[in-house]
Amino acid sequence: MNVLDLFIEYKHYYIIGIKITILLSFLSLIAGVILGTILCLLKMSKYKLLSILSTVYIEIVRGTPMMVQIAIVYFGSYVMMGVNVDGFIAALIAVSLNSAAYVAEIIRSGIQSIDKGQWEASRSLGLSNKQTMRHIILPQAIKNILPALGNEFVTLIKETAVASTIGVADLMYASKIVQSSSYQPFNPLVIVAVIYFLLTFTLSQLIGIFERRLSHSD
Amino acid sequence: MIRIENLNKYFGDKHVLKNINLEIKKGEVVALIGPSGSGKSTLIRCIDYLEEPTSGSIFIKGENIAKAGKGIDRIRQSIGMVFQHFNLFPHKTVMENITLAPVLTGKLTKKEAENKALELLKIMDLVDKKDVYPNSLSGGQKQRIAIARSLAMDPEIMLFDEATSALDPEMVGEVLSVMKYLAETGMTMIVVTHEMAFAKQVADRVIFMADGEIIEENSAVELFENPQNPRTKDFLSKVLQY
Repeated sequence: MNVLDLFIEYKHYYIIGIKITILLSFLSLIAGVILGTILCLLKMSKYKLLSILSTVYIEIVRGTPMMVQIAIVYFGSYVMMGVNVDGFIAALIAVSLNSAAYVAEIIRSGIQSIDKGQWEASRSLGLSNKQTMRHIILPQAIKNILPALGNEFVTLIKETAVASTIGVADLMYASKIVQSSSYQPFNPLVIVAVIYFLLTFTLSQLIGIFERRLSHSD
Repeated sequence: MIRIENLNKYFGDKHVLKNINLEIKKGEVVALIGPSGSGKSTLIRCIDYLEEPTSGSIFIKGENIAKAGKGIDRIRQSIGMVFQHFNLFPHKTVMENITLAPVLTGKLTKKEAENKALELLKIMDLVDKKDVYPNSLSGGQKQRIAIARSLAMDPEIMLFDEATSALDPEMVGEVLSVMKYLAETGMTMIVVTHEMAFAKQVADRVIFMADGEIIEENSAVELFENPQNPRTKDFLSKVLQY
């Protein structure tokens, strides 16, 4: 069976896989943005302890493989708390916690990329720290942050492939099923690679268009 | 209006302001001159509390700014600051740049702020630019908008931190003439500048700083025509030789 026939024959597996992969990545991104914003606020806090805690969290998450993190959440929830967490939920939790660390850094660098002169001008007019953040800094920082969040989405689509290791029926998992039911070790991999590529490439192009539109309004 | 007592400022172990004492009266125009790195900019940034003094006190209308806490916002509302690089808000139109602070601080309603902005734009001769974004303005126009933005808060003191240093030569004049106009209206001003002719013509008092110290201060005419300290003489001979 050639690659195309193989894809048509097993396409419902792939379609489910695509849905699960996108759903997992997207929900994780949303949760990551919420948690990441909080982490970023903690990291930039004037209270040293909060800032250190946030930094430690971010460094640990960024310094360990997502595969390990997913396994820790999935098996750890049983070993430590005796709960049997559904694979998808475990993956969602782990990927969200992982993404939060990256998103926190994205937001922080977006904010810090704004020229110090903007703070000074605003504060010298008598606006408070909060007013400056809300009316001057964030509206400008968001232009750097949004495209970077789009790229984080692209990264998540690829990285969530490791969720298949705990049995989440994502795109990678679909590929494994097709491998074993068709007795073809190689062609399903080609198919899944092409699908991943099409997903991420399309998304990157959309981000590019969006980014150009943002910079237009400068 | 402004009183500075024993002000010291360190950046790391670098002693950039050394025991500065200075008093500036209402309506006075003071020019701060001196070589780069002499601490002039740091001094006026301290007055707006953009730099925190290491020791010493600064009083604005009798109030110690280091002890103001959250009250610093209120004090800053009475001090306008004009920066070398303008620091206009790029995501706001000219009109929004000017009206933002008075509206957010509750000083004026939106309508009042807009009327005030139009008045200021008329003075700056930039009414036709009210709806454009700062990006499309020339340096001289940006700086005049920045001055208008500060004036919209009705400040009692205006600080100019090398306001013309980043401008192309042909635009320096338009900004200086606005500053001169302000001085004539009786505004209390501290001007850090390299424009000696301007300092001589407009300032009531000129202060020469070097290495973080006030070396000499005098009326503009006296300081330029009859400098006493050898370092002042040396500096003036270098900047005035062309």
